[in-house]
Amino acid sequence: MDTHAALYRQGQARLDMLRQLNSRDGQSLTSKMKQHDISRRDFIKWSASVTAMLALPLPFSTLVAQAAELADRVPLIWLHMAECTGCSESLIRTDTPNLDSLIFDHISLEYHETLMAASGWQAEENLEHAMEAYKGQYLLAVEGAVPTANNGAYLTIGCKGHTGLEIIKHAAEGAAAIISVGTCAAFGGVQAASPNPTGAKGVHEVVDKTVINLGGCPPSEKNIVGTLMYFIMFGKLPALDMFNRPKWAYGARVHDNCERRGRFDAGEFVEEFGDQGAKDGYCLYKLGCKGPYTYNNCPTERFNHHTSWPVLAGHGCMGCSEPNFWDDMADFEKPLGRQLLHGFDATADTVGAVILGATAVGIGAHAVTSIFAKPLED
Amino acid sequence: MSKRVVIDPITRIEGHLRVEVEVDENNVITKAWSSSTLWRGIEVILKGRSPMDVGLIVQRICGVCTYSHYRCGIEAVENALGTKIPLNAKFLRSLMQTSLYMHDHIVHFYHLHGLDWVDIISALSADPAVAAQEALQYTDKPIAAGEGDLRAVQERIKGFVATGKLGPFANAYWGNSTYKFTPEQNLIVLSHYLKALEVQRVAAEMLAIFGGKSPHPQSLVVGGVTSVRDMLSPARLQEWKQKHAIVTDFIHRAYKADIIMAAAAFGNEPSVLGGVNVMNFMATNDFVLADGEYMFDQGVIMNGDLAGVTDIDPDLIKEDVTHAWYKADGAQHPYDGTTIPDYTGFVERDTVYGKLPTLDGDGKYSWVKSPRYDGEPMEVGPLACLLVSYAKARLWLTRSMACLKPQVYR
Repeated sequence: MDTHAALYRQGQARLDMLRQLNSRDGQSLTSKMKQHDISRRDFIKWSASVTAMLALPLPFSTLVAQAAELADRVPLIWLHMAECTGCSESLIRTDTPNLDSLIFDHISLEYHETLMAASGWQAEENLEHAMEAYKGQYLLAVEGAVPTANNGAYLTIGCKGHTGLEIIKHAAEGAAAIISVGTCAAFGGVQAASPNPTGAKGVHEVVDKTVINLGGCPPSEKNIVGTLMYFIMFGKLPALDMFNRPKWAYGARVHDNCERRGRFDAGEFVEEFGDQGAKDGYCLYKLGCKGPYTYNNCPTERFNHHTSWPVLAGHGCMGCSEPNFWDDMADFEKPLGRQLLHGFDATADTVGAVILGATAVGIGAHAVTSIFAKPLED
Repeated sequence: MSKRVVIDPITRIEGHLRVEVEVDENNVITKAWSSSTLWRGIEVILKGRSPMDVGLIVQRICGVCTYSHYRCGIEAVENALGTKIPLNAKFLRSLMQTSLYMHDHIVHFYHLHGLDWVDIISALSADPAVAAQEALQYTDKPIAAGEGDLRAVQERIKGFVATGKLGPFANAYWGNSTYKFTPEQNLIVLSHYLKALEVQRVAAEMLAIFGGKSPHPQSLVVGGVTSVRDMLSPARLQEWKQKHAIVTDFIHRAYKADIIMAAAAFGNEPSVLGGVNVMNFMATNDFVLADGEYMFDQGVIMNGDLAGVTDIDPDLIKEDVTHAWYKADGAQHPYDGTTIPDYTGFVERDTVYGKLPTLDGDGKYSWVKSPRYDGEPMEVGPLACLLVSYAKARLWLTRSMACLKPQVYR
């Protein structure tokens, strides 16, 4: 708990600092909430749920609430590199009506090509203005990988024809923090899959600053918004895993929280799509589910207002929040078995190997159990 | 002396687009070029992979029209293997396509294209009472356009503008004479812009019910659809139907009304009166009604000849790279297609913003190949779908076209 207390004090200090900055419009959140018909009780409830989602103890919900009130002072620049705009589409699906849009009213969205009214020269002016006026203060979110082959010629943006590589390096210099939104910005993504014809790379490979990686194709809107909230609350990066993904979202294996885990443990597998096991919700491991190798909160948070997630829809996890998953996890309808993952040796005491081992033992154990179950009953 | 104007980035689209135009001394456009400035190499990456994985990979071509490329990638493999899928799988794919269709049209109309014809700042000077009356002219039950709704929206945006930090609305073209709406009309659409943010979430949930998530659903496989448990659940079907009703309600009481209002305001624009430039249209079968029966028919219309509509001949489709940054000997059918990058870069020249790198219009200037049908460019999409089905005399369409006031289409 000592670390929690220290973290809480840090958060408090950060908010005190933010509070001293000038309010954007002099209007309190309380009055804005009234305007949008959101009760204080709803707001506290929301704060508590964000706190739970970030895996923080409940007392932190007061900090979350205070951070929401101050969020309007954080300028956000969102850049698009080699991408499909799926991450922006995920962002616009934020699933807490009214309140989430209020939160975004409070972040100053300085540049976002999918949402901004200005185009061309005027759009470029907005970007240059924001990078200058908020130097050292802005949050930089990046969607998409950075093509580096041929001096970055496979992507140019803007009237001046700058490459994506040049723009990212320049924008990274003045950023208070950098968030790679989605597997492309984090690890290169689909365009970096073999043979990676454009030399596509994750942002962290081309800038010399710490980058938060939000894996997922796309990451859920909760993982995007939650990470922004953490930065605003504490003014620092959240606890990160070995791939710089926030632990609060990517700390648990998909397999461990999967609703079909009981089926796995019981050795009940879908053998082919459309069989009786598929109708009964059996485990999808044998049809290539990569849940045992994938770290994300999909089973607990799901997508689109908790509507569903791939395993609920009867399809295995494809491992989309992991580095190089397009190569390492393919074929997507076949189990991985004992292949190496992330270049680790299967015998080493590493995450990948531990997972592989556990899975193999798990399946072995089920086989053994089912062999002995019958005689024991007799 | 002609002048060159460069617009890059074109915003509120998916992807990276650059447009350059040449204007004469009267500022009339005489030449125009469009260029995609990003290459990712998906065709190259696909080679050597399992055909079962193709759908998932090509889905990542676009996260806005997510699912479309997924379905086509899966169905391409099914066609190649001669796989027949169960009728229920066809219906589920159609329900997912319906969900995407509803989502994508709303987002495009309001959140992407909308800011080109809705003047946000003008809406601040509207009289909400007058605007509420105006809204009743286009539907007898407007949604989010009562006097109180409109006043609340106006106050909210006024507060936002008063901060002086306009965020995504900054440095735009407010007040330009190409905005044709009155302040009251702008306020109505602004209110629908905000309401549509809620409604598109519901439409996205429709796709997620059978797709697992949106964007980038994950429930199609070669041979069918995996979300069999959702399909067999009466509660899940009802959930889809309920959300469908919510989105449909918005379409009738806001979206359609706004289109009629916009058609009246923008009907005399040269760009509208000038008609379409390319008179060739192509559409494919879509939305299964029964086994082998579709709401939209496939077909090809050349030179605007509706009576001469023909079936699609896939052999006539070719991709041309004369002006694209690829090497190839002439136009290629996709079966024989190659994707070999051949980047030649920009050409420095004078523009209205001074010296800039510009497109080499006579040489290569884009990462997008030019698809051709029998050597001709084609328009595809909503207008093509309607025209082809109309030309094929689909009864439901002929009836609904007859109900519309002719001036809307002139």
